Amino acid sequence: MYLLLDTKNLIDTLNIAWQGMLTIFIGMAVIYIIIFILTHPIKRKKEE
Amino acid sequence: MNFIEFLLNSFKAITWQQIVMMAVGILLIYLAIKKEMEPSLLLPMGFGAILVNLPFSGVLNQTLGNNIEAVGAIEWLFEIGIEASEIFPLLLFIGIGAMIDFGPLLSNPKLIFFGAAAQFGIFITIVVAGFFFELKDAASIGIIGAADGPTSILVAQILNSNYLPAIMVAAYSYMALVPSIQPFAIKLVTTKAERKIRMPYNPKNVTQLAKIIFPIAVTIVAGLIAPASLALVGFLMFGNLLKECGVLRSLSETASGTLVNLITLLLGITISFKMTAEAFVTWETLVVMGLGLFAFVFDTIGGVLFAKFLNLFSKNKINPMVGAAGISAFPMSARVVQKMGLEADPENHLLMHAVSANVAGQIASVLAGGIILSIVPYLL
Repeated sequence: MYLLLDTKNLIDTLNIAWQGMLTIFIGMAVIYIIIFILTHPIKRKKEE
Repeated sequence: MNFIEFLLNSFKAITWQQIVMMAVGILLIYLAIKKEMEPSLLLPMGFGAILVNLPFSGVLNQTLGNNIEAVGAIEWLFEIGIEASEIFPLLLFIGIGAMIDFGPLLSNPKLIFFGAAAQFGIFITIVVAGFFFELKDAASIGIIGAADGPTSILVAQILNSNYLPAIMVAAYSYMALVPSIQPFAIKLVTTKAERKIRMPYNPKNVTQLAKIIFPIAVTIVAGLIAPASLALVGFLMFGNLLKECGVLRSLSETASGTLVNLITLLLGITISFKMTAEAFVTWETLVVMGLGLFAFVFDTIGGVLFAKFLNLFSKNKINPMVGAAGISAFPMSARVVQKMGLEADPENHLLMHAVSANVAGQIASVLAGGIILSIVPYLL
């Protein structure tokens, strides 16, 4: 192991970091919408 | 070979690195029994570390006299259970899925985003590890922050990381150390007043139909967003569907009981195959362990800071500690938050909120593993 002064490595890791975080948030947002759709009818029934 | 030489053969062959690894094995057994740290994994791993580090160990493939090949049981288990198909960690996910109740999350879905925020440690660690390691190793080290042993094993194995044994030991050891690591990290970024914030809990009714549709829908979404995560998410959700469908109680009980026990028993001793002295006794192991700790700390900080960020815009304040429960270590992380909430205010019960964030963390961590597997191979 040694200090890698590799610009490509750094750019690649930064790309993984921002793309990874963004994709997880998008994935969780889609799952949130699914939960909202699944639980929304219950809410409506209660209101009725 | 004369008789004395035959008797002393193994003694002469032993190296100081093998002695160190056997001491590590004994330490893991001690931590498992005395400190009850993830005993179901650390004990088999510790015993396995002794088995594979004895010279000419019969649990590893050996070439005997006259070129006779002897197959070692642990090496064979590793080849079929992890190397060939990663089936051991995946089967474990069926059992984990059958244990999880997504009810609290379905009842309080906004906490799902804490699962995403608390994966921050994975990605910041990949960037830091990139200064010292090749990309495939940096990504595998970062995934220690998933706080999820099977995901760490799967990602490191698929990416063919050189540091699989250290990653496995770090993942499981730090998971056991969540009750020590998280309070330290939480206190670094919160004030006592913030830790006192109360959150009322008003659970909604969740129908069985919603609980059945949820795992199917999540599988389809994960498959479309990060196809490489399908093995992880799919097996997890399959286990959950067994539990929630209501007509497969026997299978669900087998998955969450017998299957989990059986795979856990085999997984611990199987992964010890990689704990041989030549692979483990290196400076890199210490660096990997350090980066693993860094990942856990920044997962916690990521979750807490995200909650504080949301509080800037929200009328109903969120206790920032709930964000820390967005890691996958279930239910330890939720318990830590509940305990710290009670320490700050004896009537502050955060458990159900923390459990919601915690199960969200379980989905997010497998998604993170899949996302890494989707991105990294194209960059190598």
